[in-house]
This record gives sequence, structure tokens and C-alpha cells, in this order.
Amino acid sequence: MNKEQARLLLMDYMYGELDEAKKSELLDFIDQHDDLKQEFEELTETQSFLHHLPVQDPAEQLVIMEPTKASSEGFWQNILTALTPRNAFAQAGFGVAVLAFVFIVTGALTGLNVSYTDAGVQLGFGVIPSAEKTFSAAQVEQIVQQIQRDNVALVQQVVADAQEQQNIQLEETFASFASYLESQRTNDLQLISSGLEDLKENTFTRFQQNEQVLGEIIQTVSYGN
Amino acid sequence: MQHDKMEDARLVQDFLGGNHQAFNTLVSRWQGKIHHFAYRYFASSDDAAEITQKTFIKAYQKLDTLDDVNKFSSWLYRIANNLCLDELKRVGRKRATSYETLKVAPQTETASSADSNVLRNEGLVLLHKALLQLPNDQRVVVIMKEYEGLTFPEIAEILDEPINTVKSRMYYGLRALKKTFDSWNINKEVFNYE
Repeated sequence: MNKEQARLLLMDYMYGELDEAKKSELLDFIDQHDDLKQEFEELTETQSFLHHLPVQDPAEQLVIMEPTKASSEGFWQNILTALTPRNAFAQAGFGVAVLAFVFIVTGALTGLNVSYTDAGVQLGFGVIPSAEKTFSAAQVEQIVQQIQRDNVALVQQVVADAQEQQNIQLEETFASFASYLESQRTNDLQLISSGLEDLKENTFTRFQQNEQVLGEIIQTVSYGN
Repeated sequence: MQHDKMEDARLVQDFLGGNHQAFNTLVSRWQGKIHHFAYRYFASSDDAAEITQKTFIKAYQKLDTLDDVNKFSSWLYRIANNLCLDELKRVGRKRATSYETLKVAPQTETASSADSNVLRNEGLVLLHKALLQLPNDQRVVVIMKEYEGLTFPEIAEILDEPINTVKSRMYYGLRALKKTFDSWNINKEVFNYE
């Protein structure tokens, strides 16, 4: 026996779960080890403290109420049990029949329609519109060619319109530029004319001034003679 | 004890046979013990009542899964213990905080108190708090052994642990309690006064 084993046996001994043979063996071992003896006394004292711990009783008695037997779930369960056959083969047949019944009832309620055409089976709810007539390959080719022709004509029309629009804009631009040039030329002529008038007037003024000066000079010279 | 087990087994069989009242008889036989167990686990009447209620509801729902009707008591304690652990997980942070507070809160100077009655009551409060400070795995063993009177094999079966592990937890639990009592100056004089 070692100390660890003795400690485990000590637990049995403290709570009266150790048989007599092991009990004497344990007590002999404890007598030989003072530290174990000390532990034993301490644990016994601790155990005696724990006995004083008070406890509170439950405030009220619990009662588990029996569930009501006439529940709707139980009712339907009983019906299902009563209707379901015991034989496995019969159960499979019963299952198929139930599925078919559910399918028919659901179809009737939702307006399920099943129709067969050359293309296959068609499922739908409510009134199923009749399938539209399809085109042959030649008709499709003709339609495609017609669409292509229309597209070409449309493109040509668009290009012609764009060309015409461009020409109009160009003409307007030229007209505007010519008008601008004409206006500029008129202004220039007016400026030139105005300049010539000013020059003419200045020349005339200076000519008069010269005549006047010459007259005064002649008159001065005449008086001097 | 053996007679009690046989009576429990008979009641379980009666219930499984359709006698609903047999379960209520089991409740009346075990409600006090489960309540005491949960009360010592949490030191709270409210928690104890809640755990007790949940334990019996679960037992009612799952009793048909009990393999051996002779092990009803162990099975019931296992349910209660699992519910206590669930509750600890649910409010673990809150409880952990309160335990931390407890480590420094008790300041009772038992030797200097004038009123011995008060002194004794305070001692009991500290005793409960000391129990709460134990790690969960040690606390449940101490409670089951010290207060529920279960044997080590029974506790091992409930906790699904080896017997020596259970004894070891009991030993270290008592050692930890001794250490706590010493640090809080709790001695036999506190409890000897009547």
C-alpha cells in the first residue's frame, strides 16, 4: 500500500464503505505515517463541519398533470392506425392508393390539366392555351430575308437622311460664313470711306490754312514795300 | 434502501404500464432529495425549485428510455446533475463572478463576535459559501456523498466515472474545504453552540 492508495481507502473508511480486513490494514498504515494521521484528523473535522449545513425543503409539492387523451393528434393517429393494413404488400398498395387519391384531389382543387401533343406531355394549371402554329424552314428563311431587306432599306434611309442633314448644315455654315465675310467687307469699306473723308477734310482745312497764311504773307510784304 | 429501490422500480413499471398516478408517487418520494441536491449545488431556493421541476419533467418525458428500472434513482440524479451543469453553463459568467467575489468577501471574525447565535448563523453561511467555491466535479461528489448518502459506486455510476476518480475528487474536495475553513477562521466552536 502506498500513500495514494491509502488516501482512497481513507475515503471508504470515513464513510463506512471499507471491509474489516482492509480497515485494519489501513489503520496500521496510518499509524506508521504521521502525515497521513494528521490528514485523517483534518478531514474528519472538515467532514463534521459539513454536517451542520442546513437545507431548505421545497416550498410546494410538484404534480405532473396527465395529458388529455382526447387530443386531435391522437384521434387522427387512431384513424390512421385503423385504416392501415397489417400486411406489407397491402400496405404498399394502400400507400399507392393514398398517393393517387391525394394526386387526384389536389389536381381537382388546383385545376391541373394534363394533355398529350405530338411534342409530348403538357402539364398546367387552369385552362391551357392552345399551342401557336410553328413556321417551316422556308418560311423562316423568307422572313429572315425580308427582315434583312427591311434592315438594308432602313440603313440606307438613315444614311441618306444623315447625308441630307449634313449637306444642309454645311450650306448653312457656308451661308453664315459668306454673310460674315460680306459684313466684314462692308465694315472695311465704311472704315476706308470714313478715312478718306477725314483725309479730304483735313487736306481742305490745311489748304485753307495755307492760303490764309500765304495771303497774310503777301499782305505783309505789300505793306512793307 | 433495497426496499426503496424495489418500490421505485415497481412505480416505474406501473407508470410505463399506463398508471399516470405512479409517476406522481415517484415525484413525492424524490422531490425533496432532488431539491436538496440542487439547493446545495447552487445555494439558491429558486434555482433548486427550477432544477427540480425540470428534472421531473424530463424524467416524465424520458422514463420509457430507462434501461433498468432498478436504477431509477441513479438515472434521476444523473438528469438533475446534467441540468445543474447546463444551468452553470447558461449563467456561468455571472456565477463565476460571484464566486470570485466570495473568495475575498467573507470577513467574519468568528472569535470576536458578541452574539453566539449570530456567530453560528454566519458560520453556516460561510460553510455554504465554502461549498460553492469547490470546483464543480468535486462539489457534486461532496454533495452526493455527504448529503445524499450515496455510495461511491452509486456516484461513479451517476457521473459515469471510475470509482477511484470519484474517491479522489472526494478527498481533494475535503482538502480544499479544510483549506477554505482555515483561511476564513471557521472552527468547531462556530458549530458547537446550541
